[in-house]
Amino acid sequence: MPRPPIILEAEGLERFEIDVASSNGAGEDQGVVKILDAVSLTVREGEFLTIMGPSGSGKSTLLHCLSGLDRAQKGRVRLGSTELYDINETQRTLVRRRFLGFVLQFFNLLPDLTVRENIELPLLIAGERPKFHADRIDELMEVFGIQGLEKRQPHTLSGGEMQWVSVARALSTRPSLLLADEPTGNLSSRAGAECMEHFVALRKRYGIAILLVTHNPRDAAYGDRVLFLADGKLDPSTQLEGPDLDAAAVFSRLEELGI
Amino acid sequence: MRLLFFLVSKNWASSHLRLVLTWLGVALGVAVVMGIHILDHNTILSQLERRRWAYGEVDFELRPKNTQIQLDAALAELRKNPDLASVGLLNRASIRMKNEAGTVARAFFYGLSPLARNPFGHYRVARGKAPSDLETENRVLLPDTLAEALGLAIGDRFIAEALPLEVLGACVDGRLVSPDRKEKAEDLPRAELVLSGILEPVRLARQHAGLVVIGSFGLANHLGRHPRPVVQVDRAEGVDPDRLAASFREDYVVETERSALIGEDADERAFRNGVKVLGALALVLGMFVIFHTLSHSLAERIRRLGILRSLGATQSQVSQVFLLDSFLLAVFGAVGGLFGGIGMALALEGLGLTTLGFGKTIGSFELPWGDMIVIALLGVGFTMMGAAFPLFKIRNLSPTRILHARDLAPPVDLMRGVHVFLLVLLVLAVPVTYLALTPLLESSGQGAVMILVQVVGIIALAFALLLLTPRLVPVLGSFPLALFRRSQALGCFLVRKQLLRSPGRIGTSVCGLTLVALAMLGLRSLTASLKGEIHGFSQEALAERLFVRADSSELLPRQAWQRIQDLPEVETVLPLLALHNSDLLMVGTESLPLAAKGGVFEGAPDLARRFSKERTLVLSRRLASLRKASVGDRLPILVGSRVEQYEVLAVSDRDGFFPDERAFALIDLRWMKQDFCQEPNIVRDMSLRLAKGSSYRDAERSIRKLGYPLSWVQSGQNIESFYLKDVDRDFFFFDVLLYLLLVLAGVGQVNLITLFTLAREREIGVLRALGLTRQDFVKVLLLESLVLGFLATLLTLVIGLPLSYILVHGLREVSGLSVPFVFPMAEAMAVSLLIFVVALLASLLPALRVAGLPPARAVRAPE
Repeated sequence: MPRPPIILEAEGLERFEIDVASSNGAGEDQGVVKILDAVSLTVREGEFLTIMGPSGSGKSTLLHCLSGLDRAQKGRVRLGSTELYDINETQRTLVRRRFLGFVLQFFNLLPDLTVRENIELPLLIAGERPKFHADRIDELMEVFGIQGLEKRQPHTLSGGEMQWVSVARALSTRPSLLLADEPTGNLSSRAGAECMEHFVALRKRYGIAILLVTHNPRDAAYGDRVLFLADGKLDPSTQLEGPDLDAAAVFSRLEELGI
Repeated sequence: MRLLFFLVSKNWASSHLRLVLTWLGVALGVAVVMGIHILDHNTILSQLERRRWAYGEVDFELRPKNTQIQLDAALAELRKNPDLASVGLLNRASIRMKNEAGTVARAFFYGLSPLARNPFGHYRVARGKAPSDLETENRVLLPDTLAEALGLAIGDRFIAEALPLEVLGACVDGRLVSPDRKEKAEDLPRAELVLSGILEPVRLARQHAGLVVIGSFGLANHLGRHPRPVVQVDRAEGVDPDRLAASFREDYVVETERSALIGEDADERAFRNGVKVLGALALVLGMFVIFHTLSHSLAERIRRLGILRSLGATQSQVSQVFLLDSFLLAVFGAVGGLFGGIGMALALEGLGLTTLGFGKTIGSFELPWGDMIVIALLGVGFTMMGAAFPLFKIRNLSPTRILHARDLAPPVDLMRGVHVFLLVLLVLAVPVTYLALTPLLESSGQGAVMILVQVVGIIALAFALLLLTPRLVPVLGSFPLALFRRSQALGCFLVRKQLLRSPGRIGTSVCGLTLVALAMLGLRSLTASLKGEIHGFSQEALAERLFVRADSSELLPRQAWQRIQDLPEVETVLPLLALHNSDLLMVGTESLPLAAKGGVFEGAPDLARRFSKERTLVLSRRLASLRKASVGDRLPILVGSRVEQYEVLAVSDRDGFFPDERAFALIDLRWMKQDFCQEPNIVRDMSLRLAKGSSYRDAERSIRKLGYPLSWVQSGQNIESFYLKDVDRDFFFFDVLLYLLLVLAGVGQVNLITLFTLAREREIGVLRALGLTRQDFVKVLLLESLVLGFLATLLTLVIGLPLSYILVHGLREVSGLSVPFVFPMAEAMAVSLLIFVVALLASLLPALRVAGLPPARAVRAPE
């Protein structure tokens, strides 16, 4: 069976920052902190890839660099057929708008907008008229069980409900790839598990690829493949994949890697 | 205390932009008010100094309203006044001096108390010494010329006696005659005087061509026929002359015409009142920016406050942090404003501007530190109030609720109520404070205060509507958005949400911009109406006329009038003989040209006849307006020592104007001779009505060919354009101030948008993460500015029309001018456009700044 085509490819990503506090100007590399160190990875269509790493390992930075929200100083990122770092910031935004959906840890719903307006927002940003996509929005609300909340404002929702709105918003433009940054970080363990089940169901229903970064081994185990990020480095040889992937396997690999 | 300073310094270090903008708001607000005040202070001071050079260092001359008052008691009271550096008395008498050889000279005797101390510097002694302050002192000072004329040396004695009344003749039936009754020489008050010293030819010794004697106050009273003593005062350094004058007005008549406290003319007083009103507006706007900036700055940082509370800080500690923050900013801002104000005043002075308009010079530059400190403290006070209000609002909120302030935002607006508070404070308290600080000048002050009350009332009404019912903001704001609904669907959606979220913030910004726009529009209305008035006057008094003035060495006799009348270019010649009688400018002319075509009595020979035969006059429109006189009224005119009644035959500007003064009374030359003993066959000025089709140039050439020495020939057209330029020139000062206010409003707007976008950094990051481009974001902010500009324009036009009417009506009341109401529609549009530009420019800096923010950083921004 042929493998699905690659939707996202990153090669040799390096991102470093000057640490002013430790810099004394003595040497060339003095005070330079590498956030990402020669990171390469691929995501194929319909794949559920998780990147596992402790706090401060560079997970969010990697996600931002992969999406074009930020850019690495070295390396390249190809999204679909577009080299993200060969185009300007506006063009990157347009590519991101077409291909990607974003789920952020802190929900980041706009407080003035109702639930439905929050979900419709990416369509508006893309210049589309939400009423032409009402069926899709209704379907998403139904999938996440938030049909009755459409006129509510974010501050009246529970944490779980806010996250469902956030995921529904990310899917409203039917992206090919969903990027999720610690989506369960602000949820109870029960809501967190429910959230991950939703991701799996979404993938089956829409055939969407998912790239999820997390520090939770249980969440990581939902992926087809788990990559481990430590000190900005991603070693492909340490990845886990296969049908018997579970939280225990992720734990033991973490122990092996000393993370 | 260490914790307080630590937190404040961290707070400042965390956002330089916020710090700078807040400081700038405070500094600019204070600077504009300070600048106007310093300039005004120095303008008036220079007027006083100019007077001093010729008179002495007297700031005011006071005449007790109660004539029965004991001068000694009044003086003792005044000497206790800490605002006064010196208090003294002066009296003047006309005398005749006679030396031992019988040589006689007339002079003016100035009696001073104190005399020896000479606190006002009325004189300087060149030789000899000043007399003592004793009541019985009979030693006096004379200028060299007078002493020489009488052959007097220091120590010599001479006789001084009061002038007999008959020396002052009266005009009776065209001849100067003396009174029937003569005083006996032995009855005249006299005194034997001793020459004590010789005066330098400065100050009082320069008056009356040096025919001056300076001695004791008692001697002047003795020699004077109609003693009118005045109290002279000199203010302590730094005391505001206006306020001081106002403090005397209950008990004294402050003689402004001699003290030169204010400009000499009514229009100068009106001008200065205009500056004061504009100063009040600057104060309103400056404090508006300060208060609003600080309030929003704190409201946007409210979450930090919650964190501090949750870490164990008490409400009091938290309040101290924010109040210290505001206090330091206020003090630094006020100091910046203080220096900025000095700089602004110096710059305006450098441009040749004063608060009395162009053409006045400021000699020495003094800083009224007392008032400056009050203004700076006012700035500090407002800043503190701006910080205290939101603190007061959240005093009962729990730390957790504060922490979730963002989530509470739509239903619980922390700034709610601040707009009401601001409204009451700014439209009532600030103008009152400002007027108390610098009271409007007395003569036209009451009228100006009434205008101010009406103006403030109408503005308050409109602003209250917007600020107290903020729901109007999204309703009205949806109109301009409708234009962009299709092309900018996202922008319209987001802006509409903003309007719903922060109607108070947007409403306040709209009010700030509207305030400046209204001031500009009001000014334009005044200018347009004044020009309209000049145009109307020009049509009546200047069109197709040529004005001629002879050289002072050779006047124009009757033959000259006839020769000029015979020129083909000239239709009518109107000889003009001007006489300042008491406070009235009387212009004598002949009745014949008045009855000619285009004249005031055209088609009314009866009136022309009456004008010639009876004591009648024609009033210019301005004089009629000032005197509130109309046709048929009888005006009492001082004729020598008696009063004659002159009937008003007409009110018109058609004839008699000569380009010096527009308030005049035209009478027949016969009566100029009869009642004022003026020679009716020689005049210096003429007004010529030109024949149809004649050009000014041809007429001037023909007149000059006649060979009369003419110092001045001007066409009516030139005079009109001079008047029009004069209006523009005078109002240029207001323009400068208004543009400064516009900058101030712009800075306030930049502050608000920047603070707002800084607080929305995370939200903006989310939008960027969802695919919003930088350009999209800039468009959203520009669209928001467009709504702001639209609302400000709408409000400006709605309030502008009645406001302009009130201002023009007020000008009519204060100045006595028959000003037509002209609403400058084209300029109203220009002002609206300017407001749009300012709103757009103000949003550009924050828009570009936020648009340049990396979205990844924005997403990570703390909530």
